[in-house]
Amino acid sequence: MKLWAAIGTLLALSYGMALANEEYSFDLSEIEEKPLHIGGYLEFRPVLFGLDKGSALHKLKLYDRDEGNILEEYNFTSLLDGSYKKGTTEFRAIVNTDLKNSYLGWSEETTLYEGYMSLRPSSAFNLDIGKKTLKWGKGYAWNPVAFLDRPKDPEDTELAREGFVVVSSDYIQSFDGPLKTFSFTPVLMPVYDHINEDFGKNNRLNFAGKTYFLLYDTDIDFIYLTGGSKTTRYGADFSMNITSNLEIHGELALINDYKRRFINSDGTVFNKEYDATSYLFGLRYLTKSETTYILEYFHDATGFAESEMTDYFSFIDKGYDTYLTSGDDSLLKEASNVAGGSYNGRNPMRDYLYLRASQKEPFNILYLTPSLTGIFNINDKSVSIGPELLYTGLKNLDLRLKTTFLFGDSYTEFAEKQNDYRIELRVRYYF
Amino acid sequence: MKKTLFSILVVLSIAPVIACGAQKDAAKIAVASNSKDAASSISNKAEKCLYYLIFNGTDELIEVVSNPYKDVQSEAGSQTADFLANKGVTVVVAETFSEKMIEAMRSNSTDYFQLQGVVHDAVKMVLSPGNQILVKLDRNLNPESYESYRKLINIEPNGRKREYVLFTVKKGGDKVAALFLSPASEKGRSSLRLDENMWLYIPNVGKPIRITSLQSVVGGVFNNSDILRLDYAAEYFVEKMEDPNDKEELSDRYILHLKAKTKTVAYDKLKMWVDKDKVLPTKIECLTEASMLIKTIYFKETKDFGDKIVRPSIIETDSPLYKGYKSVMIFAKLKKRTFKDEVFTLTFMPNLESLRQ
Repeated sequence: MKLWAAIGTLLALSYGMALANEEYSFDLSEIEEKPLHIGGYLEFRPVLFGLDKGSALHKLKLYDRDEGNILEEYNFTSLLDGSYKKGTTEFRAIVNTDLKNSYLGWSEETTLYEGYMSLRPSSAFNLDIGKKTLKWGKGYAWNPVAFLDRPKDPEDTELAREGFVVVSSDYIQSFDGPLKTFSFTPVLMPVYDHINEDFGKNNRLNFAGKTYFLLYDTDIDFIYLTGGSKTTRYGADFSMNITSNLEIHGELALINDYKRRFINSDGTVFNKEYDATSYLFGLRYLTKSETTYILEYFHDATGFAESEMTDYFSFIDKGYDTYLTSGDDSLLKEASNVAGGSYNGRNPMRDYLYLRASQKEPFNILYLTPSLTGIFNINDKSVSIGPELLYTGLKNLDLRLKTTFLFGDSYTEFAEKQNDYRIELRVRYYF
Repeated sequence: MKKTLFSILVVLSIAPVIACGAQKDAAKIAVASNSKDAASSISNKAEKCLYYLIFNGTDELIEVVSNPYKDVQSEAGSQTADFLANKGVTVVVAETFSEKMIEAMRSNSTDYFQLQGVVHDAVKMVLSPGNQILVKLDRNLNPESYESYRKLINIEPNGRKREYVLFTVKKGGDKVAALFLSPASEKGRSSLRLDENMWLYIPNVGKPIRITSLQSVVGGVFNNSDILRLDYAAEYFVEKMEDPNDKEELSDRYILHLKAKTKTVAYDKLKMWVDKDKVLPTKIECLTEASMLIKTIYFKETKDFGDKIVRPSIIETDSPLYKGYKSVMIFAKLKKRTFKDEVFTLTFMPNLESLRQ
């Protein structure tokens, strides 16, 4: 037995040495399986905002301060991703810490993005218990069917997000024939004090599920959510390749009894309840010169109509005038809080077009990817345009320079943002 | 003396072709069809077809048999495979096969071709020595189901290197998945290929997204289809075979001219130099339909990985489109391993790491 072990060691060593003698080497210790893994990244992200002093959101947020024409912000982030595996069980935790220095001073926030236990008794079944992100949907910029996810930032779709506490499992079955894969993902989501309390109504146990089919060469999902924290909703999505360089995808979400709060220009609050149908269509196209285009149209039936946004901006103006004449900022504070701040969220209106064009390694400069992202508000015809340069040529270091310019007439979404433009450098080191 | 040596060389060089010819004579090819006519189309399901048309090695239709298992609900594939093996069939042709039928054919040592079109044309193609060589070359390069580790090195003109380590699993002719183990910026990324469908999964960021075969996940000269490569015979057929005995420096090589079976394959054509003795590729030129060179792949350092797997351990690639750049792939710990089909699904992609032993 010892002899065999010695021969095995000798063979392994001679293999390693043989490779080492070549021009290229492959150290087998690099592929050794370790039960404990700790990784993640450290990030430094300075941002410069070019303020638009006449805009509604500048009046709303900075009415009592004079910060000049430019605001600086310095962000430091660490994301720690750790896992421990024993047999068919794995524990995983992702912790994000943001340290920010802005005109408001220093602030720090540490959040457990994910923390769960995963049991995988077979490749066809797994059970996850804890906090995790589910990432449902096929869209790049928006996911109307991601009923259990926090919303994506369409201007930075690859940002890691915080999950919710769930019990979920995957059951997978493969077949021969037109239906190649079927999988079912049931999810239990409790909403109680200190557990997922920002999700919706408290003291409810919610049920959600996703069934996935790979039918012919098309990915299809059917999704539902019920249980009371949010109104019952149903979703479906698909994704397929038309040709080897053209992919199309879509999502459809039906939300029963959706309740929307909005105000008129006097500040009177209205409630409206209706069944909302949101949908998204998109494509991804790769040209021969390796330019990738992503185009998406999104109709968000839960969003505000153009007249409702105009009323909101008028109300801010009214509050600002009141503040200037009397020093009373109560209307401005009301405007900040109305509808849970949803007026000031990302893309609060109904119809949007998203276009991203990225060019891989132009002029044969390896690891450089310039791109341009445009988000067009179809309802009020305002636009956000973001040119960006990403360089990944240094080992474990990503450098990204990103700018965003906002255009539009007065009382339009992008024109009434706090800033006219922003310039951001992101230096991210992975370990 | 020279003449004797030359004669020996000629005899040695044509020996494999003679052997192929002998194999051809012994070949018995069964083609799945829904008609008894050799001019009809190949059936799209091997285990459900109405008839098998059986040809001998000289392209003659010698027998038409009804498929006795066409209406059987379970185990039809394995029973059909055994039925054909008992009739002495050495090669089966159909548009698709069930996994169970493939497994049964493998255990019976029956070769199979997934082809579309007319029955008689398929027989001619199967009998061409080039295709016989291609099938053998695929099996020599790797078992049908296996796991392996690979290191990818992108080398820039100034000598700077960028390295990636991947864990790869493959099953059958159309399923392959790869997981990045390093560098830290890529760790946990995985890509999956099911036939011509490809997806990329980036942990912490999003769900698996569909990608295209021509895109490159890591930059450099290798693209997705090079990293998630299927069997050559699954994607290409041999249009022409050269046996350049007249050129001394090429007398130990075949040159195969391969054409993509469908438009969705990454390269329209391949020109492949094959070592006659080992039946392994030594060089491949990847070409467009107009025969423009996209890249050249060099196979080097043949090694014994154990369990009768002897194959090149280093693959180098350069491209006139990336002048001065070179990419290298080093193989390690290549071994036979079987996986359940569920491993090769979108839902399983985030769990690929759990397969490492």
